[in-house]
Amino acid sequence: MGIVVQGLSHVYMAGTPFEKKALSDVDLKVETGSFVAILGATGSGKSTLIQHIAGLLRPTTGSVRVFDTVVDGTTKKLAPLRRHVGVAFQYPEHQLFEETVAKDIAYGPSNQGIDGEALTTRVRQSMEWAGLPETLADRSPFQLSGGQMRRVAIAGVLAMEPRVLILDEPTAGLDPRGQRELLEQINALHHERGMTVLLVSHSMAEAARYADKIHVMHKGRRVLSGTPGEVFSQREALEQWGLEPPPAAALCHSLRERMGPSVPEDLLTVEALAEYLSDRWQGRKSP
Amino acid sequence: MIHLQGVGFRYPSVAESGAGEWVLSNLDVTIHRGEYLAVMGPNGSGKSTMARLFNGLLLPTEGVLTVDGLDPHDTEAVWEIRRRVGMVFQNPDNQIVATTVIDDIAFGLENRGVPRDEMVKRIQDAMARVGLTSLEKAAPHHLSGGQKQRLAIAGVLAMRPSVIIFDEATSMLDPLGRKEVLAAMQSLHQEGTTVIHITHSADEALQAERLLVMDKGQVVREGKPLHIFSHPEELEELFLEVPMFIDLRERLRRQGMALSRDSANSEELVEELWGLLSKG
Repeated sequence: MGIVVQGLSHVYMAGTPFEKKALSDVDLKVETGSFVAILGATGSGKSTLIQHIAGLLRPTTGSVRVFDTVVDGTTKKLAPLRRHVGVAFQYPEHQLFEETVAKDIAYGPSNQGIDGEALTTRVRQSMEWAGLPETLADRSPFQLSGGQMRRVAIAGVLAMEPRVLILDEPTAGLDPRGQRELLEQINALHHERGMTVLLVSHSMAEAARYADKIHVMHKGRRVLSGTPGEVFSQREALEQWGLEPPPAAALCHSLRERMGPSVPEDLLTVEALAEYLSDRWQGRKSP
Repeated sequence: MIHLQGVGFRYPSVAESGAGEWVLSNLDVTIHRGEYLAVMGPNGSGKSTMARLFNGLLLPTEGVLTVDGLDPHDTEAVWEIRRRVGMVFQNPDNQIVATTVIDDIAFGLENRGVPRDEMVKRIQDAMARVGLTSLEKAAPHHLSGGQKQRLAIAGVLAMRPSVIIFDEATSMLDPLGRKEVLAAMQSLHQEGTTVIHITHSADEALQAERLLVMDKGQVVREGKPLHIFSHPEELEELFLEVPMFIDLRERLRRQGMALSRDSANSEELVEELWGLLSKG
């Protein structure tokens, strides 16, 4: 198991009038090499949870283990967790600071002690992973479009070759084409390199399309875990938590209501629906 | 009414780099009083720039633009234009200035020297219209994303605008927050406010009466949202999102399934599918 979160609670500003319990007794496991989505309304504790996994917050109680590194309330240094985990925050372009794209991407790996030819290769490789044309290497990152800046920031995270990649709302503010391209590239990397991906998103459709497993957070607790099919069939519970199934799952549900339980309940993308319906229409499946 | 004729825009020259590229060119657009308009288009297509022309934050480089007959080049008129055309932006956290809901709504009115009795009346009215009355003493940073955006709407409403532009105002919200803001838009429209909604979401655009699709600084499609989405083959090069049920319907039509292009929502498509598949 790549990541094990056990009995994790976090209290912000403990002992002050502003004390706020952000996480309560969260247990969670992420298998090495899986693609996991974390869903939940604003304020449900998603960001606090991933900041623990990324080694940016210390547990109040409970523990976080990433591979062989364990952190709990008594751990002095959180940094060892960060060897394994790369995070791209919601506006990763705010993480940019160097004068050229190549230098910005090189910053992380050069801090890891990589230099010379190896560093150049790493930078070029990361640009390719993030879908950035080589011609942008010597440009200032601040002259790029929003979508390109986001890719530079993600390339900078990938350049450290983290075993776990955490993406916090990576597509917010991108247009549909940019959203699709970015996630397709991340997904390809996930498959090719066995990189574990944790995706925090408000988009149920993204979770349905890419995740092997979904965890749902509500008021600081993990309230549901399962495959996309299992999670999105819990329509009433989702609504109670301020979420909803993606449009394809909602249409799949109406089809089942109209045509009966012979329609599978895990048709969660437009491709899956189209394939099933056209097969059925061509008579390969009896109604 | 907002009227644009032959409008072009580029940023004025800065020092060494000279005048920029045209961000908008040759726009002929009319926005009617009380209409509910959606604007879609890829990043960089000029949607937000156009919105900033509508309320006088930017001035056209060429062509004629008027808001209720007022010309934004007139320094007196531009203040009136900004009052009439309010804007709600993308990030709910960047639009809040005060420590309580009621003070936040009061901010714009105080700046305009509105008398106190009138202020109280307008604030109460604005809170009621977006459903924040019970939260008047709440601290804005304790509100949910949807509540913060409704607070931003209330701040705009207190200025008694005739037009409200929502510039990707739902894009950072969770599903519930989106629903809240979309419901607020719908009710503003029913009460007679002109609503302009810039969005990447096809489902959100379907709620509007008319859709403008922009690309490279120009309007490339204009019409009823359902009609524009029903011909996705014409939209491919724009990478525009279309509603899922239309995407599905068109895929199945290409496979030869005899589905009409009349379905207006996923329920109607499900009915047609059921009819087609249950015949055996």
